[in-house]
Amino acid sequence: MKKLLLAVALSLSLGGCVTLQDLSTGISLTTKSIVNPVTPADEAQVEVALNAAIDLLQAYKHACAQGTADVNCRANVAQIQAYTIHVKPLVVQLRSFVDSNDQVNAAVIYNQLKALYVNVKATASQLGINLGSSTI
Amino acid sequence: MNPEVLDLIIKGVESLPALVMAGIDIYNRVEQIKALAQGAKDGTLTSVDIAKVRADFDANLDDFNKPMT
Repeated sequence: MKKLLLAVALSLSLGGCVTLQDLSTGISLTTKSIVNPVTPADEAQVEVALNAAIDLLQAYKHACAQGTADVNCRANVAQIQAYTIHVKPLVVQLRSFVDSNDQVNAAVIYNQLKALYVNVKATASQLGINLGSSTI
Repeated sequence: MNPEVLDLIIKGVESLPALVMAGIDIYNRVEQIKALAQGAKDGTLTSVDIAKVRADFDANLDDFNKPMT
């Protein structure tokens, strides 16, 4: 009987945790665009940070062109470009929404850009190019 | 600042050590980050400053996205 009560208490406790977490995540996402808008200064800082990552990819590409990178470098660059080619239109949209203070759409595009950055970083990492130590 | 935006900035800046390890000069990039952060903090960041950052990013990204010949 004690075991049963413990199991019920544990399941209720765990169930409560999940619900609370989901709720807090939902609140966080909902309030992000209203309480914490993406300002032009924020967006510019994101661009500078992303530009640092692009610097490294550029160095790899240049080394590849000069024949000093690994034998698979051309295929590797092409694989990363499949993601980075989609960054530009997203950044253009993000700038437009930030400039017009359309925070809802800015947040949507921002999240897409963030997901793309995760893919670029993961692909680069798989190919042995380190774009930073942590994951988003 | 939006914590999500700050997180992305932090992750991007984390690539700086890798740039150093690859022998890339990061001075200009660090100066750019410092100037932006200071300008944002002081409220002195102008649309011209932001346009410059955007143009720099566009040029760098466009260059990387060019197919290798």
